[in-house]
Amino acid sequence: MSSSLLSIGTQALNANSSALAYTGQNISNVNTEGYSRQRVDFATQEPPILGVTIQDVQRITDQFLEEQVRRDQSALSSTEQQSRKIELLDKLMISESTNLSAAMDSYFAAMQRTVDDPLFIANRQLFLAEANSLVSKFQNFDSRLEDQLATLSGESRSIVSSINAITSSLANLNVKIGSLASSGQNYNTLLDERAQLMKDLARYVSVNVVSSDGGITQTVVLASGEPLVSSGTAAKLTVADGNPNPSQIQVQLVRGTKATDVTSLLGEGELGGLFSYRDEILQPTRNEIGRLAMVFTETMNEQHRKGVDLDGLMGQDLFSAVMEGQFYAKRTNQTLTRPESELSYYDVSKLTASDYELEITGLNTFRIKRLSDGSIFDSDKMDLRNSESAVSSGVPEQGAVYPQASSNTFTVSLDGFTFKLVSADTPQKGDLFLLQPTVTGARNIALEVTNPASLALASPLRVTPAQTNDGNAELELIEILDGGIDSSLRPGQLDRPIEIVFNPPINGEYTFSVFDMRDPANPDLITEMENLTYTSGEPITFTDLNGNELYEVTLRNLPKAGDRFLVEFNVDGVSDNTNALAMANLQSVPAVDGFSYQNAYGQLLAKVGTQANVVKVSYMANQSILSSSEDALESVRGVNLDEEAARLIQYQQAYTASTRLITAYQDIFDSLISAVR
Amino acid sequence: MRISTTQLYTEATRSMLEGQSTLVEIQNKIASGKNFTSLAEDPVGASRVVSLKRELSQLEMFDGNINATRRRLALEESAIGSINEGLFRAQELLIQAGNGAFGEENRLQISYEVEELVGYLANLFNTRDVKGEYIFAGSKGLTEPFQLQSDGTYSYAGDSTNREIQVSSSQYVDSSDNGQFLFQSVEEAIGIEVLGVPSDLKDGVVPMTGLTITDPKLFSASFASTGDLTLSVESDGDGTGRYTVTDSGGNAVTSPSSVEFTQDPFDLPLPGATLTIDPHDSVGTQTVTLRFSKQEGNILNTLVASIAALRGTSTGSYSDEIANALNDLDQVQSRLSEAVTTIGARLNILDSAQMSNEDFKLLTQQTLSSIEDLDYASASTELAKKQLALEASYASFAKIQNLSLFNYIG
Repeated sequence: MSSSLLSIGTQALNANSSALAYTGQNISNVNTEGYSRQRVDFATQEPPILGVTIQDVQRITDQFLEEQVRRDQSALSSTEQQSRKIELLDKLMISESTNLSAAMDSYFAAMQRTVDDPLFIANRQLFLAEANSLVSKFQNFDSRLEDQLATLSGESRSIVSSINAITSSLANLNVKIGSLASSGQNYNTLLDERAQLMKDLARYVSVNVVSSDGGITQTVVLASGEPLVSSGTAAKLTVADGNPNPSQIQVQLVRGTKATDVTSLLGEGELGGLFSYRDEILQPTRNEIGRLAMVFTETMNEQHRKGVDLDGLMGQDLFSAVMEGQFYAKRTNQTLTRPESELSYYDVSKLTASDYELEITGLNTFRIKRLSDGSIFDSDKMDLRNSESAVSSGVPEQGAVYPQASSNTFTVSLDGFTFKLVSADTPQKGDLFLLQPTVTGARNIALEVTNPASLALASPLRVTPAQTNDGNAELELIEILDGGIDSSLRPGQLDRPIEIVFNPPINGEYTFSVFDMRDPANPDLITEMENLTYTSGEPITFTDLNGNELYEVTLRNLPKAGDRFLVEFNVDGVSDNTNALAMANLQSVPAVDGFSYQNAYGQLLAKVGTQANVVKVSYMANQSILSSSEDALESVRGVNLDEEAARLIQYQQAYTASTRLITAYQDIFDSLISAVR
Repeated sequence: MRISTTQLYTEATRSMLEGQSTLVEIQNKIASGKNFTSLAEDPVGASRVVSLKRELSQLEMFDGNINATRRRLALEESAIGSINEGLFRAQELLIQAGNGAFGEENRLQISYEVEELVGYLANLFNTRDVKGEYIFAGSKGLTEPFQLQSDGTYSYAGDSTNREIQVSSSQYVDSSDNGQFLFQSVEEAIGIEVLGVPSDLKDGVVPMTGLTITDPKLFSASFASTGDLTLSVESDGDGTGRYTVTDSGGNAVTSPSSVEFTQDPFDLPLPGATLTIDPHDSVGTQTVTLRFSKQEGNILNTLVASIAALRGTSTGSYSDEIANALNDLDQVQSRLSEAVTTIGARLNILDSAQMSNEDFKLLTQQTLSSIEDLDYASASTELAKKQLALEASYASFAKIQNLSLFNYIG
């Protein structure tokens, strides 16, 4: 039986009213975010039946553009996070009130006041006040960086919970879409919802989407291939304490009972951006500031110890001595590490601002990796020394190792620090330690001297030319070589006062002999310092009674025979400012890796600034990249009201025409009935 | 290219927001007057600003040093001025006293005034600055440099160190002069110091029993060319023996190197003097060091000695003492005028250092400004440009937002 006009008309009516309905759907959802316009596909009925049917309601979108948008969104979110974080660091470094270079300017200005007038107590008090202020600025800087670290940790936790919420919704959607598809219903809106969730997920972490079953099921994987959502199951992400350093949090993927560290696999996205910022900018800056504080402390202390204070006592430490550094053992070998293990320093000026990883590679062998540039130092290539005291003779570039009696202890010196490991049992292959020599520098800096009279600004030694001197020779410089706690100057006396006596010239060259003046009436010639050649401007080194090099005297211009210079302890010499001058000159000494303190800070400033600049530029670029890919996607799937308006007219007319079919059928039927009556 | 309806609005909104944010950025710059407020905007510039500010701070430090030094030197200059006046008055008095016509009465009168002058001068020598530091004590700023002894003389308790101040990156200037250099310049008796006398050989000691100086200039000049002398005496026990005199280079001073002596004690001839040696009948060789010595004296002690002469209580001849005192006054005055000249020279150095520091400061400030400060002309042009762009985006949005097919159908 062929299709009657009625059935054809009814079909047309249905088809067109559906079409109108979907057009209405499009129009009403014009402002819905993530909505893909739907288009009705008409198709003729299968012959021999005549009429029209709706074959399919197509969801117009482009999956490649969707993927592009996800990628660009991840990139943008990552640089957005970094940009926001680095801005805080930026302000900290450049602001006048927190800027460490400006603080050092005030410190050295106060020191110059004491150079002018070392006796004036007010000058000394002012200097101590400025030193205190510098110390607080260092500590403040470090605590702000630590705050950032804590905030970062909190933020990553909330991002991870958002990710988990999204992934579980995605898993549910997969199931719902599957059931709707199998029952033949329209699941286009659910597809839209799923696509929108994917985009939201891409904001937090870089993902790849793999479609299967003709687009019904989508598997979401991380950059490395670890699946986040597969079919109806979602894996969970958690934030866990770092290993070996617990405060370096890590992100883990939990599937069942297995947890994998995926921190380096996060790609871009907000989470990846946070960790990039932490590892590439925040942590290195903290290390650099720590190193600056340590070198500053050490060099100031060393010079201060070489001076004499108002009470005639040798100077003590001006700032608290540099404490032990930080190190962590990996959790698996943590219990074996005894508390006697320590990280100390043999030469602060050789420190790099890098962290190190020490890995045991076998019995008594290990490997140290410098994390800033990836250099590896093998224990078998290191200098073998007999004892730790040999460190004073210098450590070569590849490091030095000191084996101990038992196989459970070893000590290694490298790059300015010394790490001693004491284990309860033999260290196993694979045991890992994280060494952080400089990170605590700025946190631990403190002022040790509180009494202005204890500032050691004068020189401990005095050089007195004799009254009878006829020549032009004069003192240019006196420099103390050993101001340490074992120095023989410590008790406040010179154990062997000496006198330099010039001899008549031989062939125009002057020579001198040095006499021990402990008994002024009986000068005792020091045999190894007899008839030495004199060169103007060359330092003459003197040792103490034990043979340790103690100080250097430099004379200039030509003497005459019989000219004498007496070197003795500077008793009552409180107006002398030689040590204050020496300390003030430290401002221009290249103590930090070849740069002066403030130049090193300036270097750091430029480094952070360049990174900030790069991030800012990337952020702006990513913004326009994302908007152009979103535009491209929108132009494919977005609703255009004018287009829909035209369609509305189109389907309306078709509907009206279809009703005509039914009316025509009715007319035909009526005619037929009336014809038969 | 197909545009969706939402795109129209999103695009327009986006460009309006961007326009607004750029406008606000420029406004901030104009309000703060700074070219950049964060490192990200100009990292190299920011680090240069830090080092330029440090240079400025250093130049200011040097300025402070220069001013402090100037004050010190001014104080010193005025003290020396008063001292010179006192010395001049002493000179007048002593010249009067040298007049043979003066009797005991007059001399006594003069002695009183000289005594007053000594007290006055001692006070000036012990000048302290406002903070209580003795300015002429060298580095012993809390020790009174010229201390009155029980016998009425003054001894110098300071030292010979001067304090250096940094007035520019490579220039140091002495900000003080010590009492040793200024006032202990009086030449007193020259002599020989014997060193190295073994303490356990009481009898076998080789002492001096008399040093007679015939030509002081020759005597001190010879020691200046030979240094300390080593005297080695080998006695045979019967009053004869030989002696050797070597200089500190080991060269024999006498010719032949070993000279015989036949009596005990014997005379040792030295250039410009004769020294009597007593080997004390011991057998063997003894070695001692002969060192040229000059007694330290200051002008106060000379004046004290002249008071004794005026009052007739001194041991030497009256005219000798007065002549000696006048000679010493001359020496001190010439040393002081030397000092005043160096102070003047140092003040000049300070002035020129200050001027060149000012120049550097100006240069540095200019460089700093060129990096840090905003160029208002270009900023206000930017502002006008961005303002125009924003207004244009508003106007264009107004034009297109009400275009729709729905306005024309139904």
